[in-house]
Amino acid sequence: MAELDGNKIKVRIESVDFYYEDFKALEDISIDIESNRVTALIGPSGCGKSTVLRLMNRMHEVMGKTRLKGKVTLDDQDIYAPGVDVVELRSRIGEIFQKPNPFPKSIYDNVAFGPRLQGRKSRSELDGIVEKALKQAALWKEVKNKLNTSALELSGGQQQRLCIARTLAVEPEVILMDEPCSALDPVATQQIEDTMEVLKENYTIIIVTHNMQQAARVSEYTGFMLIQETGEPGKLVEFGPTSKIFTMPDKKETENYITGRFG
Amino acid sequence: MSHVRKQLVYEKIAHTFLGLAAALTAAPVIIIIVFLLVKGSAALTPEFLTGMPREGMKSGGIFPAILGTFYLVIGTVLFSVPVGTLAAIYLTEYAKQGRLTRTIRLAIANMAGVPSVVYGLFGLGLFVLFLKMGTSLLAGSLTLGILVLPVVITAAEEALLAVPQSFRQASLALGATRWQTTRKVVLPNSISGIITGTVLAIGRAAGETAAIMFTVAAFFLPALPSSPFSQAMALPYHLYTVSTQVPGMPEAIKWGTALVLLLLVLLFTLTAALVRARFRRKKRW
Ligand SMILES: Nc1ncnc2c1ncn2[C@@H]1O[C@H](COP(=O)(O)OP(=O)(O)O)[C@@H](O)[C@H]1O
Ligand SMILES: [Mg+2]
Repeated sequence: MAELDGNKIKVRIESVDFYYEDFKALEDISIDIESNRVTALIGPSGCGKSTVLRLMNRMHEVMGKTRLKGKVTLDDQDIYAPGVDVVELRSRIGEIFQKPNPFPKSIYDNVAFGPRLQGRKSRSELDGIVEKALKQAALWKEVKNKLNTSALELSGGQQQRLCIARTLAVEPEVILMDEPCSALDPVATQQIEDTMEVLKENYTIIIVTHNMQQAARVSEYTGFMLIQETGEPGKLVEFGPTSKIFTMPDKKETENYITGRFG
Repeated sequence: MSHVRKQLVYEKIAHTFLGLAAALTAAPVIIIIVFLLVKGSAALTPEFLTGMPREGMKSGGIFPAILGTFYLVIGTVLFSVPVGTLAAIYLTEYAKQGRLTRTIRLAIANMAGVPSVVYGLFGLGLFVLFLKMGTSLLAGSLTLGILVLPVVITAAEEALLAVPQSFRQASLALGATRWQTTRKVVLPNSISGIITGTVLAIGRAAGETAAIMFTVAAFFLPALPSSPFSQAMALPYHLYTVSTQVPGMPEAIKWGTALVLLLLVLLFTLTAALVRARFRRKKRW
Protein backbone atom coordinates (compact mmCIF):
# COMPACT_ATOMS: atom_id res chain seq x y z
CA MET A 1 0.00 0.00 0.00
CA ALA A 2 1.22 3.48 -0.79
CA GLU A 3 2.36 5.85 1.94
CA LEU A 4 -0.52 7.80 3.39
CA ASP A 5 -0.15 11.50 3.26
CA GLY A 6 -1.43 12.68 6.60
CA ASN A 7 -4.89 14.20 6.59
CA LYS A 8 -5.82 16.73 9.22
CA ILE A 9 -6.40 15.34 12.71
CA LYS A 10 -10.14 15.11 13.39
CA VAL A 11 -10.19 13.49 16.81
CA ARG A 12 -7.28 13.38 19.22
CA ILE A 13 -7.20 11.26 22.33
CA GLU A 14 -4.39 12.40 24.61
CA SER A 15 -3.04 10.34 27.53
CA VAL A 16 -6.44 9.18 28.67
CA ASP A 17 -7.04 7.06 31.75
CA PHE A 18 -10.63 5.93 32.18
CA TYR A 19 -12.53 4.44 35.11
CA TYR A 20 -15.91 2.74 35.55
CA GLU A 21 -16.54 3.41 39.27
CA ASP A 22 -13.17 2.35 40.70
CA PHE A 23 -12.29 -0.02 37.89
CA LYS A 24 -9.58 1.32 35.63
CA ALA A 25 -10.66 0.26 32.14
CA LEU A 26 -8.13 2.23 30.09
CA GLU A 27 -4.62 3.45 30.78
CA ASP A 28 -2.62 6.03 28.93
CA ILE A 29 -4.45 5.89 25.62
CA SER A 30 -3.30 8.31 22.92
CA ILE A 31 -4.65 8.10 19.39
CA ASP A 32 -4.76 10.61 16.56
CA ILE A 33 -7.62 10.02 14.16
CA GLU A 34 -7.27 11.51 10.71
CA SER A 35 -10.26 12.93 8.94
CA ASN A 36 -11.79 11.11 5.97
CA ARG A 37 -10.13 7.87 6.89
CA VAL A 38 -11.33 4.61 8.30
CA THR A 39 -9.51 3.83 11.52
CA ALA A 40 -9.93 0.34 12.96
CA LEU A 41 -9.54 -0.74 16.56
CA ILE A 42 -8.77 -4.40 17.09
CA GLY A 43 -7.97 -6.50 20.12
CA PRO A 44 -9.37 -9.27 22.27
CA SER A 45 -12.74 -8.91 23.89
CA GLY A 46 -12.78 -6.82 27.07
CA CYS A 47 -9.67 -4.79 26.23
CA GLY A 48 -11.62 -1.54 26.12
CA LYS A 49 -12.35 -0.94 22.42
CA SER A 50 -16.00 0.02 22.98
CA THR A 51 -14.91 2.21 25.86
CA VAL A 52 -12.55 4.13 23.57
CA LEU A 53 -15.48 4.80 21.21
CA ARG A 54 -17.61 6.03 24.11
CA LEU A 55 -14.97 8.56 25.09
CA MET A 56 -15.54 10.31 21.81
CA ASN A 57 -19.31 10.85 22.07
CA ARG A 58 -19.42 10.85 25.87
CA MET A 59 -21.93 7.99 25.85
CA HIS A 60 -20.34 6.58 29.01
CA GLU A 61 -21.91 9.46 30.88
CA VAL A 62 -25.32 7.81 30.68
CA MET A 63 -23.98 4.55 32.11
CA GLY A 64 -23.40 5.50 35.73
CA LYS A 65 -20.32 6.69 37.52
CA THR A 66 -17.29 7.09 35.32
CA ARG A 67 -14.14 9.17 35.49
CA LEU A 68 -11.77 10.33 32.80
CA LYS A 69 -8.29 11.76 33.05
CA GLY A 70 -6.59 13.23 30.02
CA LYS A 71 -7.97 15.05 27.03
CA VAL A 72 -10.14 14.32 23.99
CA THR A 73 -10.48 16.88 21.23
CA LEU A 74 -12.66 17.20 18.15
CA ASP A 75 -11.24 19.69 15.65
CA ASP A 76 -8.84 20.81 18.40
CA GLN A 77 -11.73 21.64 20.76
CA ASP A 78 -11.71 19.85 24.12
CA ILE A 79 -14.99 17.93 24.18
CA TYR A 80 -14.91 17.63 27.98
CA ALA A 81 -14.41 21.34 28.56
CA PRO A 82 -17.09 22.92 30.73
CA GLY A 83 -19.84 24.40 28.63
CA VAL A 84 -19.59 21.85 25.85
CA ASP A 85 -23.08 20.85 24.73
CA VAL A 86 -23.22 17.04 24.78
CA VAL A 87 -26.30 17.03 22.60
CA GLU A 88 -24.48 19.01 19.91
CA LEU A 89 -21.39 16.84 20.29
CA ARG A 90 -23.47 13.71 19.67
CA SER A 91 -25.00 15.19 16.59
CA ARG A 92 -21.46 15.70 15.27
CA ILE A 93 -20.23 12.25 16.28
CA GLY A 94 -22.74 9.52 15.46
CA GLU A 95 -22.62 5.91 16.57
CA ILE A 96 -23.64 2.61 15.01
CA PHE A 97 -24.06 -0.15 17.55
CA GLN A 98 -23.16 -3.81 17.52
CA LYS A 99 -26.73 -5.03 17.34
CA PRO A 100 -28.94 -3.17 14.85
CA ASN A 101 -31.27 -1.09 17.03
CA PRO A 102 -33.91 0.58 14.86
CA PHE A 103 -36.83 2.10 16.73
CA PRO A 104 -40.13 0.23 16.45
CA LYS A 105 -41.34 2.91 14.05
CA SER A 106 -41.62 3.13 10.30
CA ILE A 107 -38.50 3.21 8.13
CA TYR A 108 -39.22 6.85 7.35
CA ASP A 109 -39.69 7.84 10.98
CA ASN A 110 -36.46 6.13 11.94
CA VAL A 111 -34.44 8.19 9.49
CA ALA A 112 -36.38 11.37 10.24
CA PHE A 113 -35.89 10.97 14.00
CA GLY A 114 -32.65 12.95 14.23
CA PRO A 115 -33.64 15.81 11.90
CA ARG A 116 -36.95 16.15 13.76
CA LEU A 117 -35.05 16.51 17.04
CA GLN A 118 -33.28 19.43 15.46
CA GLY A 119 -36.63 21.01 14.72
CA ARG A 120 -36.74 20.27 11.01
CA LYS A 121 -40.37 19.53 10.48
CA SER A 122 -41.42 20.41 6.96
CA ARG A 123 -42.48 17.32 5.10
CA SER A 124 -40.70 18.18 1.87
CA GLU A 125 -37.43 18.93 3.65
CA LEU A 126 -37.67 15.68 5.61
CA ASP A 127 -38.50 13.73 2.44
CA GLY A 128 -35.30 15.01 0.90
CA ILE A 129 -33.17 14.20 3.95
CA VAL A 130 -34.63 10.70 4.27
CA GLU A 131 -34.06 9.89 0.62
CA LYS A 132 -30.51 11.20 0.65
CA ALA A 133 -29.58 9.33 3.83
CA LEU A 134 -31.07 6.06 2.60
CA LYS A 135 -29.22 6.42 -0.68
CA GLN A 136 -25.92 7.06 1.10
CA ALA A 137 -26.51 3.94 3.20
CA ALA A 138 -27.26 1.98 0.01
CA LEU A 139 -30.72 1.05 1.21
CA TRP A 140 -32.90 3.32 -0.90
CA LYS A 141 -33.57 0.91 -3.74
CA GLU A 142 -34.76 -1.79 -1.39
CA VAL A 143 -37.10 0.33 0.71
CA LYS A 144 -38.26 3.25 -1.40
CA ASN A 145 -41.66 1.66 -1.95
CA LYS A 146 -42.28 0.79 1.67
CA LEU A 147 -41.05 3.73 3.67
CA ASN A 148 -44.07 3.51 5.94
CA THR A 149 -43.67 -0.12 6.94
CA SER A 150 -42.13 -0.96 10.29
CA ALA A 151 -38.34 -0.97 10.42
CA LEU A 152 -38.58 -4.24 12.33
CA GLU A 153 -39.72 -6.03 9.20
CA LEU A 154 -36.35 -5.51 7.56
CA SER A 155 -33.62 -8.14 7.64
CA GLY A 156 -30.72 -7.73 10.05
CA GLY A 157 -28.41 -6.31 7.41
CA GLN A 158 -31.06 -3.91 6.17
CA GLN A 159 -31.74 -2.82 9.74
CA GLN A 160 -28.07 -2.05 10.25
CA ARG A 161 -27.96 -0.01 7.04
CA LEU A 162 -31.10 1.76 8.24
CA CYS A 163 -29.27 2.61 11.45
CA ILE A 164 -26.46 4.01 9.33
CA ALA A 165 -28.97 6.09 7.36
CA ARG A 166 -30.54 7.27 10.61
CA THR A 167 -27.13 8.46 11.78
CA LEU A 168 -26.28 10.06 8.44
CA ALA A 169 -29.52 12.03 8.48
CA VAL A 170 -28.13 14.01 11.41
CA GLU A 171 -25.14 14.91 9.20
CA PRO A 172 -22.40 14.01 11.63
CA GLU A 173 -18.72 14.52 10.89
CA VAL A 174 -17.50 11.38 12.60
CA ILE A 175 -19.14 7.95 12.68
CA LEU A 176 -18.28 5.44 15.37
CA MET A 177 -19.04 1.82 14.55
CA ASP A 178 -18.89 -0.79 17.28
CA GLU A 179 -18.58 -4.20 15.62
CA PRO A 180 -21.33 -3.23 13.19
CA CYS A 181 -21.23 -6.52 11.31
CA SER A 182 -20.89 -9.00 14.12
CA ALA A 183 -24.58 -9.88 13.96
CA LEU A 184 -24.68 -10.05 10.16
CA ASP A 185 -24.08 -12.67 7.50
CA PRO A 186 -21.23 -12.35 4.95
CA VAL A 187 -23.39 -10.80 2.23
CA ALA A 188 -24.78 -8.14 4.55
CA THR A 189 -21.27 -7.56 5.90
CA GLN A 190 -20.00 -7.00 2.37
CA GLN A 191 -22.74 -4.43 1.76
CA ILE A 192 -21.84 -2.50 4.91
CA GLU A 193 -18.16 -2.54 3.97
CA ASP A 194 -18.97 -1.21 0.50
CA THR A 195 -21.01 1.52 2.11
CA MET A 196 -18.12 2.50 4.36
CA GLU A 197 -15.84 2.78 1.36
CA VAL A 198 -18.11 5.46 -0.09
CA LEU A 199 -18.81 7.18 3.20
CA LYS A 200 -15.21 7.91 4.05
CA GLU A 201 -15.08 10.49 1.29
CA ASN A 202 -17.27 12.67 3.47
CA TYR A 203 -16.92 11.27 6.96
CA THR A 204 -14.33 10.16 9.44
CA ILE A 205 -15.00 6.58 10.47
CA ILE A 206 -13.75 4.67 13.47
CA ILE A 207 -14.63 1.01 13.52
CA VAL A 208 -14.19 -1.57 16.22
CA THR A 209 -14.02 -5.04 14.81
CA HIS A 210 -13.34 -8.55 15.91
CA ASN A 211 -12.71 -9.61 12.41
CA MET A 212 -9.15 -8.91 11.38
CA GLN A 213 -9.71 -9.46 7.70
CA GLN A 214 -12.33 -6.78 7.93
CA ALA A 215 -9.92 -4.36 9.57
CA ALA A 216 -7.38 -5.11 6.85
CA ARG A 217 -9.99 -4.62 4.12
CA VAL A 218 -11.66 -1.42 5.19
CA SER A 219 -9.21 0.67 7.20
CA GLU A 220 -6.23 2.92 6.53
CA TYR A 221 -5.12 2.97 10.14
CA THR A 222 -5.30 0.31 12.81
CA GLY A 223 -4.85 0.40 16.55
CA PHE A 224 -4.20 -2.79 18.48
CA MET A 225 -5.35 -2.89 22.09
CA LEU A 226 -4.65 -5.44 24.78
CA ILE A 227 -5.09 -6.16 28.47
CA GLN A 228 -2.33 -8.03 30.27
CA GLU A 229 -4.75 -9.87 32.55
CA THR A 230 -8.41 -9.55 33.49
CA GLY A 231 -8.82 -6.69 35.93
CA GLU A 232 -5.92 -4.79 34.35
CA PRO A 233 -6.62 -1.68 32.30
CA GLY A 234 -6.64 -1.84 28.52
CA LYS A 235 -3.71 -0.28 26.71
CA LEU A 236 -2.96 0.68 23.15
CA VAL A 237 -0.09 -1.55 22.12
CA GLU A 238 0.47 -0.20 18.67
CA PHE A 239 -1.07 2.23 16.24
CA GLY A 240 -0.16 2.88 12.64
CA PRO A 241 -1.05 2.44 9.00
CA THR A 242 -3.02 -0.76 8.53
CA SER A 243 -0.60 -2.04 5.92
CA LYS A 244 2.23 -1.80 8.40
CA ILE A 245 0.36 -3.25 11.38
CA PHE A 246 -0.63 -6.29 9.36
CA THR A 247 2.70 -6.92 7.64
CA MET A 248 5.49 -5.78 9.90
CA PRO A 249 4.24 -4.70 13.30
CA ASP A 250 6.79 -3.23 15.69
CA LYS A 251 5.53 -5.11 18.72
CA LYS A 252 5.71 -8.82 19.39
CA GLU A 253 2.21 -8.83 20.95
CA THR A 254 0.70 -7.38 17.80
CA GLU A 255 2.36 -9.96 15.64
CA ASN A 256 1.23 -12.79 17.91
CA TYR A 257 -2.34 -11.60 17.88
CA ILE A 258 -2.46 -11.07 14.15
CA THR A 259 -0.73 -14.28 13.15
CA GLY A 260 -2.66 -16.21 15.78
CA ARG A 261 -5.92 -15.05 14.36
CA PHE A 262 -4.94 -15.29 10.75
CA GLY A 263 -3.90 -18.92 11.44
CA MET B 1 -47.57 -52.28 36.53
CA SER B 2 -44.67 -51.34 34.34
CA HIS B 3 -42.57 -48.33 35.21
CA VAL B 4 -43.70 -46.40 32.16
CA ARG B 5 -47.36 -47.05 32.85
CA LYS B 6 -46.93 -45.90 36.42
CA GLN B 7 -45.43 -42.61 35.19
CA LEU B 8 -48.37 -42.20 32.85
CA VAL B 9 -50.80 -42.58 35.72
CA TYR B 10 -48.90 -40.01 37.77
CA GLU B 11 -48.97 -37.71 34.79
CA LYS B 12 -52.74 -38.05 34.59
CA ILE B 13 -53.16 -37.39 38.30
CA ALA B 14 -50.90 -34.34 38.16
CA HIS B 15 -52.80 -33.02 35.16
CA THR B 16 -56.13 -33.44 36.92
CA PHE B 17 -55.04 -31.78 40.15
CA LEU B 18 -53.30 -28.88 38.49
CA GLY B 19 -56.33 -28.27 36.35
CA LEU B 20 -58.52 -28.43 39.42
CA ALA B 21 -56.38 -25.86 41.19
CA ALA B 22 -56.62 -23.54 38.20
CA ALA B 23 -60.40 -23.99 38.09
CA LEU B 24 -60.58 -23.32 41.81
CA THR B 25 -58.93 -19.91 41.43
CA ALA B 26 -61.31 -18.90 38.66
CA ALA B 27 -64.35 -20.32 40.43
CA PRO B 28 -64.97 -17.58 43.03
CA VAL B 29 -64.98 -14.87 40.36
CA ILE B 30 -67.38 -16.80 38.19
CA ILE B 31 -69.59 -17.72 41.13
CA ILE B 32 -69.77 -14.10 42.26
CA ILE B 33 -70.67 -12.89 38.80
CA VAL B 34 -73.31 -15.58 38.29
CA PHE B 35 -74.72 -15.05 41.75
CA LEU B 36 -75.00 -11.31 41.26
CA LEU B 37 -76.53 -11.76 37.83
CA VAL B 38 -79.16 -14.13 39.17
CA LYS B 39 -80.02 -12.08 42.22
CA GLY B 40 -79.56 -8.60 40.82
CA SER B 41 -80.47 -8.55 37.16
CA ALA B 42 -84.20 -8.26 37.96
CA ALA B 43 -83.46 -4.92 39.61
CA LEU B 44 -81.68 -3.55 36.55
CA THR B 45 -84.53 -1.52 35.11
CA PRO B 46 -83.96 1.73 33.27
CA GLU B 47 -85.51 3.52 36.20
CA PHE B 48 -83.05 1.90 38.63
CA LEU B 49 -80.10 3.05 36.53
CA THR B 50 -81.25 6.57 35.78
CA GLY B 51 -83.56 7.53 38.63
CA MET B 52 -83.08 9.20 41.98
CA PRO B 53 -83.60 7.17 45.17
CA ARG B 54 -87.03 7.49 46.73
CA GLU B 55 -88.72 6.59 49.99
CA GLY B 56 -85.54 6.58 52.08
CA MET B 57 -83.76 4.76 49.23
CA LYS B 58 -86.12 1.80 49.52
CA SER B 59 -87.23 2.36 45.96
CA GLY B 60 -86.31 4.44 42.96
CA GLY B 61 -82.90 4.39 41.34
CA ILE B 62 -79.23 4.70 42.16
CA PHE B 63 -78.20 7.16 39.48
CA PRO B 64 -76.48 9.60 41.88
CA ALA B 65 -74.28 6.81 43.19
CA ILE B 66 -73.34 5.67 39.68
CA LEU B 67 -72.52 9.20 38.64
CA GLY B 68 -70.57 9.83 41.85
CA THR B 69 -68.42 6.76 41.35
CA PHE B 70 -67.87 7.70 37.73
CA TYR B 71 -66.67 11.18 38.75
CA LEU B 72 -64.47 9.73 41.47
CA VAL B 73 -62.80 7.32 39.07
CA ILE B 74 -62.14 10.10 36.58
CA GLY B 75 -60.77 12.35 39.31
CA THR B 76 -58.56 9.59 40.65
CA VAL B 77 -57.15 8.77 37.24
CA LEU B 78 -56.59 12.45 36.41
CA PHE B 79 -54.51 12.81 39.54
CA SER B 80 -52.75 9.47 39.94
CA VAL B 81 -51.79 8.60 36.37
CA PRO B 82 -49.83 11.78 35.55
CA VAL B 83 -48.22 11.96 38.99
CA GLY B 84 -47.50 8.23 39.08
CA THR B 85 -46.09 8.17 35.57
CA LEU B 86 -43.89 11.19 36.20
CA ALA B 87 -42.64 9.63 39.43
CA ALA B 88 -41.87 6.39 37.59
CA ILE B 89 -40.06 8.33 34.87
CA TYR B 90 -37.99 10.07 37.51
CA LEU B 91 -37.11 6.79 39.19
CA THR B 92 -36.17 4.87 36.06
CA GLU B 93 -34.91 7.52 33.63
CA TYR B 94 -33.46 10.31 35.72
CA ALA B 95 -32.48 9.36 39.27
CA LYS B 96 -29.04 7.93 39.95
CA GLN B 97 -29.78 4.41 41.15
CA GLY B 98 -28.66 4.27 44.75
CA ARG B 99 -29.78 4.60 48.32
CA LEU B 100 -32.29 7.38 47.61
CA THR B 101 -34.13 5.45 44.89
CA ARG B 102 -34.07 2.31 47.02
CA THR B 103 -35.64 4.23 49.89
CA ILE B 104 -38.30 5.70 47.63
CA ARG B 105 -39.13 2.28 46.20
CA LEU B 106 -39.38 0.82 49.70
CA ALA B 107 -41.73 3.63 50.71
CA ILE B 108 -43.89 2.97 47.66
CA ALA B 109 -44.03 -0.74 48.41
CA ASN B 110 -45.10 0.06 51.97
CA MET B 111 -47.74 2.53 50.83
CA ALA B 112 -49.40 -0.32 48.99
CA GLY B 113 -49.81 -2.21 52.24
CA VAL B 114 -51.41 0.58 54.27
CA PRO B 115 -55.08 -0.21 55.08
CA SER B 116 -57.45 1.96 53.12
CA VAL B 117 -59.21 3.30 56.20
CA VAL B 118 -55.91 4.92 57.15
CA TYR B 119 -55.90 6.69 53.79
CA GLY B 120 -59.44 7.79 54.55
CA LEU B 121 -58.37 9.36 57.83
CA PHE B 122 -55.33 10.89 56.18
CA GLY B 123 -57.52 12.41 53.47
CA LEU B 124 -59.92 13.70 56.12
CA GLY B 125 -57.08 15.36 58.00
CA LEU B 126 -55.19 16.76 55.02
CA PHE B 127 -57.70 17.54 52.29
CA VAL B 128 -61.05 17.89 54.04
CA LEU B 129 -59.93 19.76 57.16
CA PHE B 130 -56.46 21.23 56.75
CA LEU B 131 -56.78 22.28 53.11
CA LYS B 132 -60.44 23.15 53.72
CA MET B 133 -61.79 21.26 50.73
CA GLY B 134 -64.63 19.91 52.84
CA THR B 135 -66.13 16.51 52.10
CA SER B 136 -66.04 16.79 48.35
CA LEU B 137 -65.34 14.99 45.09
CA LEU B 138 -61.99 16.74 45.01
CA ALA B 139 -60.95 15.55 48.47
CA GLY B 140 -62.19 12.04 47.68
CA SER B 141 -60.42 11.87 44.32
CA LEU B 142 -57.16 13.05 45.83
CA THR B 143 -57.42 10.54 48.65
CA LEU B 144 -58.17 7.72 46.22
CA GLY B 145 -55.41 9.05 43.96
CA ILE B 146 -52.86 8.66 46.72
CA LEU B 147 -54.24 5.26 47.59
CA VAL B 148 -53.75 3.93 44.06
CA LEU B 149 -50.46 5.74 43.44
CA PRO B 150 -48.26 2.74 44.35
CA VAL B 151 -50.14 0.59 41.86
CA VAL B 152 -49.72 3.15 39.11
CA ILE B 153 -46.05 3.82 39.85
CA THR B 154 -45.14 0.14 40.03
CA ALA B 155 -46.91 -0.70 36.78
CA ALA B 156 -45.44 2.33 35.01
CA GLU B 157 -41.95 1.55 36.27
CA GLU B 158 -42.18 -2.00 35.00
CA ALA B 159 -43.38 -0.74 31.65
CA LEU B 160 -40.54 1.77 31.38
CA LEU B 161 -37.92 -0.78 32.39
CA ALA B 162 -39.21 -3.15 29.74
CA VAL B 163 -38.17 -0.72 27.00
CA PRO B 164 -34.84 -2.01 25.68
CA GLN B 165 -31.80 -0.01 26.75
CA SER B 166 -30.65 -0.05 23.13
CA PHE B 167 -33.52 2.28 22.14
CA ARG B 168 -32.36 4.86 24.67
CA GLN B 169 -28.78 4.51 23.48
CA ALA B 170 -29.77 4.98 19.88
CA SER B 171 -31.77 8.07 20.69
CA LEU B 172 -29.12 9.69 22.88
CA ALA B 173 -26.41 8.91 20.33
CA LEU B 174 -28.47 10.77 17.73
CA GLY B 175 -28.26 13.88 19.86
CA ALA B 176 -31.56 13.62 21.71
CA THR B 177 -31.78 15.01 25.22
CA ARG B 178 -32.91 12.77 28.03
CA TRP B 179 -36.37 14.30 27.97
CA GLN B 180 -36.67 13.94 24.19
CA THR B 181 -35.63 10.32 24.56
CA THR B 182 -38.23 9.76 27.26
CA ARG B 183 -40.98 11.47 25.32
CA LYS B 184 -40.30 10.15 21.84
CA VAL B 185 -38.88 6.71 22.47
CA VAL B 186 -39.48 5.43 25.98
CA LEU B 187 -43.06 6.57 26.64
CA PRO B 188 -44.56 5.50 23.29
CA ASN B 189 -43.13 2.04 23.86
CA SER B 190 -44.37 1.68 27.41
CA ILE B 191 -47.85 3.10 26.98
CA SER B 192 -49.58 -0.28 27.15
CA GLY B 193 -47.98 -1.04 30.51
CA ILE B 194 -48.98 2.36 31.83
CA ILE B 195 -52.55 1.67 30.74
CA THR B 196 -52.42 -1.58 32.71
CA GLY B 197 -51.57 0.44 35.79
CA THR B 198 -54.48 2.73 35.05
CA VAL B 199 -56.85 -0.23 34.79
CA LEU B 200 -55.75 -1.57 38.13
CA ALA B 201 -56.08 1.88 39.65
CA ILE B 202 -59.62 2.20 38.31
CA GLY B 203 -60.58 -1.14 39.75
CA ARG B 204 -59.32 -0.14 43.17
CA ALA B 205 -60.78 3.35 43.09
CA ALA B 206 -64.23 2.27 41.95
CA GLY B 207 -64.60 -0.33 44.67
CA GLU B 208 -63.01 1.52 47.56
CA THR B 209 -65.28 2.27 50.51
CA ALA B 210 -63.25 3.16 53.58
CA ALA B 211 -61.20 5.84 51.87
CA ILE B 212 -64.26 7.75 50.65
CA MET B 213 -66.37 7.42 53.76
CA PHE B 214 -64.82 10.46 55.47
CA THR B 215 -63.76 12.40 52.43
CA VAL B 216 -66.61 12.54 49.94
CA ALA B 217 -69.41 10.07 50.31
CA ALA B 218 -72.82 11.09 51.46
CA PHE B 219 -75.51 8.75 52.72
CA PHE B 220 -78.14 10.48 50.64
CA LEU B 221 -78.17 13.67 48.60
CA PRO B 222 -81.26 15.22 47.05
CA ALA B 223 -79.26 16.71 44.15
CA LEU B 224 -76.52 15.54 41.82
CA PRO B 225 -73.02 16.86 42.44
CA SER B 226 -72.52 20.13 40.62
CA SER B 227 -68.82 20.86 41.09
CA PRO B 228 -65.59 19.26 42.34
CA PHE B 229 -66.41 20.75 45.71
CA SER B 230 -69.75 18.96 45.96
CA GLN B 231 -70.32 15.96 48.12
CA ALA B 232 -71.37 12.91 46.20
CA MET B 233 -72.89 9.51 46.64
CA ALA B 234 -70.84 6.57 45.47
CA LEU B 235 -71.68 2.96 44.67
CA PRO B 236 -69.53 1.11 47.22
CA TYR B 237 -70.63 3.37 50.04
CA HIS B 238 -74.23 3.20 48.86
CA LEU B 239 -73.99 -0.57 48.86
CA TYR B 240 -72.63 -0.45 52.38
CA THR B 241 -75.46 1.78 53.62
CA VAL B 242 -78.33 -0.03 51.90
CA SER B 243 -76.99 -3.34 53.16
CA THR B 244 -76.35 -2.40 56.77
CA GLN B 245 -77.85 0.93 57.73
CA VAL B 246 -81.44 0.86 56.49
CA PRO B 247 -83.81 -1.67 58.01
CA GLY B 248 -86.31 -3.25 55.66
CA MET B 249 -84.33 -2.58 52.49
CA PRO B 250 -85.63 -4.66 49.54
CA GLU B 251 -83.15 -7.39 48.53
CA ALA B 252 -83.32 -6.43 44.88
CA ILE B 253 -81.87 -2.98 45.56
CA LYS B 254 -78.87 -4.44 47.39
CA TRP B 255 -78.07 -7.02 44.74
CA GLY B 256 -78.81 -4.59 41.97
CA THR B 257 -76.40 -2.05 43.41
CA ALA B 258 -73.69 -4.67 43.77
CA LEU B 259 -74.24 -5.82 40.21
CA VAL B 260 -74.02 -2.29 38.84
CA LEU B 261 -70.78 -1.69 40.73
CA LEU B 262 -69.32 -4.88 39.30
CA LEU B 263 -70.45 -4.08 35.76
CA LEU B 264 -69.07 -0.57 35.98
CA VAL B 265 -65.64 -1.85 37.01
CA LEU B 266 -65.78 -4.46 34.25
CA LEU B 267 -66.70 -1.78 31.74
CA PHE B 268 -63.75 0.42 32.70
CA THR B 269 -61.41 -2.55 32.71
CA LEU B 270 -62.61 -3.79 29.37
CA THR B 271 -62.26 -0.40 27.72
CA ALA B 272 -58.73 -0.02 29.00
CA ALA B 273 -57.89 -3.58 27.97
CA LEU B 274 -59.06 -2.83 24.42
CA VAL B 275 -56.98 0.33 24.24
CA ARG B 276 -54.03 -1.64 25.57
CA ALA B 277 -54.52 -4.37 22.99
CA ARG B 278 -54.47 -1.76 20.24
CA PHE B 279 -51.10 -0.45 21.40
CA ARG B 280 -49.83 -3.98 21.98
CA ARG B 281 -50.47 -4.99 18.41
CA LYS B 282 -48.24 -2.23 17.13
CA LYS B 283 -45.34 -3.13 19.39
CA ARG B 284 -42.87 -5.85 18.51
CA TRP B 285 -39.20 -6.14 19.34
N1 LIG C 1 -20.82 0.11 31.81
C1 LIG C 1 -19.76 -0.51 32.35
N2 LIG C 1 -19.62 -0.55 33.70
C2 LIG C 1 -18.56 -1.17 34.26
N3 LIG C 1 -17.58 -1.77 33.58
C3 LIG C 1 -17.66 -1.76 32.23
C4 LIG C 1 -18.76 -1.13 31.56
N4 LIG C 1 -18.57 -1.28 30.22
C5 LIG C 1 -17.42 -1.97 30.08
N5 LIG C 1 -16.86 -2.26 31.28
C6 LIG C 1 -15.60 -2.98 31.51
O1 LIG C 1 -14.56 -2.28 30.88
C7 LIG C 1 -13.68 -3.18 30.21
C8 LIG C 1 -13.62 -2.84 28.73
O2 LIG C 1 -14.89 -3.09 28.16
P1 LIG C 1 -15.23 -2.78 26.64
O3 LIG C 1 -14.82 -1.39 26.34
O4 LIG C 1 -16.63 -3.14 26.43
O5 LIG C 1 -14.27 -3.80 25.89
P2 LIG C 1 -14.35 -4.36 24.40
O6 LIG C 1 -15.29 -3.50 23.63
O7 LIG C 1 -12.94 -4.30 23.91
O8 LIG C 1 -14.80 -5.77 24.49
C9 LIG C 1 -14.20 -4.58 30.48
O9 LIG C 1 -13.49 -5.13 31.56
C10 LIG C 1 -15.63 -4.35 30.86
O10 LIG C 1 -16.06 -5.32 31.78
MG1 LIG D 1 -17.09 -4.02 22.69
